[in-house]
Amino acid sequence: MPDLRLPALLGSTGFRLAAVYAALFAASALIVVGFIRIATNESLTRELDASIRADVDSLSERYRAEGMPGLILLIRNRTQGEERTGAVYALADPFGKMLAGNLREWPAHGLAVDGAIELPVERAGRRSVARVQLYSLPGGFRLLAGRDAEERIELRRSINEILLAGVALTTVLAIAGGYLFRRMVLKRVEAIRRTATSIVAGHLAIRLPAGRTDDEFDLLARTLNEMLDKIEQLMDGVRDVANAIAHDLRTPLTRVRARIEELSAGRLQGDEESAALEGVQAEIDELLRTFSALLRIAEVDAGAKRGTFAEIRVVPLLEDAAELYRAVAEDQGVALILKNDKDDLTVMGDGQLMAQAIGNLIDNAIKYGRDGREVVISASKQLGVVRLSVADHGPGIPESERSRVTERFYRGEQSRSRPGSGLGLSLAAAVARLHSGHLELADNEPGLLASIVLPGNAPA
Amino acid sequence: MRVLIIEDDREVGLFVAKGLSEAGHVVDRADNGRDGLFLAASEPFDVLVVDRMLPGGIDGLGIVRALRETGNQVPVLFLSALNDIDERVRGLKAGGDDYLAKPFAFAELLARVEALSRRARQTGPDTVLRVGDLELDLLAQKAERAGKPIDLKGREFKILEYLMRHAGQVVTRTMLLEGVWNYHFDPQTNVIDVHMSRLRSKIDKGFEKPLIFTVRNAGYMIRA
Repeated sequence: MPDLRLPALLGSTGFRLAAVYAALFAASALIVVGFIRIATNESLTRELDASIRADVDSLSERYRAEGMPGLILLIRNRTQGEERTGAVYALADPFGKMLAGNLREWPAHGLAVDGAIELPVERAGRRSVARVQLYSLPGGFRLLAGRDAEERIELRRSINEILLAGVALTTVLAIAGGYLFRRMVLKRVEAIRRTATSIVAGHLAIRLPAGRTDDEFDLLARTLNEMLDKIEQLMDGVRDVANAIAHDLRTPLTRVRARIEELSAGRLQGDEESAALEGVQAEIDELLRTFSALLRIAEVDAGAKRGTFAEIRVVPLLEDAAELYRAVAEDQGVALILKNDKDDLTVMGDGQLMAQAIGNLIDNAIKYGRDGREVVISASKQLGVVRLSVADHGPGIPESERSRVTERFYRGEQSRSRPGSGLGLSLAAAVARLHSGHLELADNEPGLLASIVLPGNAPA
Repeated sequence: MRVLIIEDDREVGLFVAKGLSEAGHVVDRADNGRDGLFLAASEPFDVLVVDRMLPGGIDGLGIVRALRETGNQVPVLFLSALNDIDERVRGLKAGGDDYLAKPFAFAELLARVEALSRRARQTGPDTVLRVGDLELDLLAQKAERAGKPIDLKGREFKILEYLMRHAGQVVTRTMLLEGVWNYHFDPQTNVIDVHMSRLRSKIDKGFEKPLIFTVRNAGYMIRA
């Protein structure tokens, strides 16, 4: 369940999102409502002013034709009988004495200004507010004409009430929506968090639930899952290496230790002693070699080299590597043959590592495939995929062992007795992976066909 | 030859100093960057052996950069536990002349130090290299011994050139791999030995006096 205590709530992204959502929603509702209110008010005022102006027009026409008496008469006429229109009139002499009109007394003492104002008035025994125009007439007489604005004020009040209710309702809706929104987001985030917690607790095989849609959360879950796969793979690698080191490095170290013990006990004499020392040195050199090969594989697997990739011309690379090993091959009675269909083949990569990987494959082919008398090195490009292959006619690798030979230190049954660290294919595989490719081992019928398979000019 | 070793590990420093003294060189030592830079800047040395990581506020790269900025061109061999091609490139870019990863065999270090001092003495490119009665014409790409032409394949020519440029000095297998093939990795097998034995049979076979020697536990040497 989400934590509902206040500090936790304020700290929650879901809550903040919901609050911002609600606030925005309410603010936009307020703006719309305010606009409606102002617009309604203005149009009502305009209407009132227009009817007042019509009244005043007829009054002034009569005044011009018949003078003050005519005006008084007209106002009296208009204010007699039933009140229908809500019209307000008042005519006062220069001393403020009411001459005609439907107000009990002149309401505008002290108001000298001509123009439209709103005034509280008392009319037919009840108080209300009127919108009125004041006019000064010759001789200090003053005329007031207007309309009762009570109706309009009523209308305005009810609009206000409706609008306020609307804003309140909107706010409630916004808060509810925000809460639902937050629940929805939180549910997904919470699922991710729970899974991550189990992974931290050691359940490394668990993966995040990724739905079938392509929304942001599913994409996030999928990416995180890929990351977890990669981490698991790396952890497996570390575990494998630790095991391998335990198995394969302890044995030579034990031998070294035994020899040193013999030496320090002084049991060896003359030639025996120097032979033992040389043996120790050779063992340590071999250990260092293995060690640096392991480090190299780890370095390659870490992928830091991708930053320094450059264009490599494949054919010269193969020619150089073949040339380095050719002398050894010939000494072993093996012919190294280079075949390629395209001279201008290029790949993006690290030239040193690629040469080392190819070198390892050639070295393997010479060591294990020497009965076949021929090792063929080739480069080809088909459907945008570049293959650098080394093929021998030796005993090959049984299919059941092929997936295991690239593991660090793994050595096939037949090769256990031959020299080598058991890291050559691992390094070639790591280099292929670094270049977004893979190491492919196939049957050369007979023999082994090992290929570094690379995506054409554009590794990721 | 006067060599300055700037290395903070006492054991390694003493080991290298002792070895170089036994080989007939005069050795000074500094165990931190500040003292090392001070010594290197104030006294003349033929070669500096500098550890990459040093205490004393300035590391190996910093020392070499500082020296190069003042126009000091003394040859520098970097020692480092960081054996990564990028690290090597960084060392050379900072002004280093060679790079040796720890752990190393002393013979390898000695050979490289001597090769560096020689490189520093060299002036101008040679067009013909001579060792005894062996002559290598770099322009015509021809080799002859005692007037008789020797047929060398492309890479054999390069190996011989490298050896002759370091005549009288030990050339290690890794130096050959780096200098001739430009490969900075371990080729697993004794490939260099096989190339050398072929070259040797072409150069020395049928002559009374051999020119190419194997130096035990170290590498090869050509000398008259």
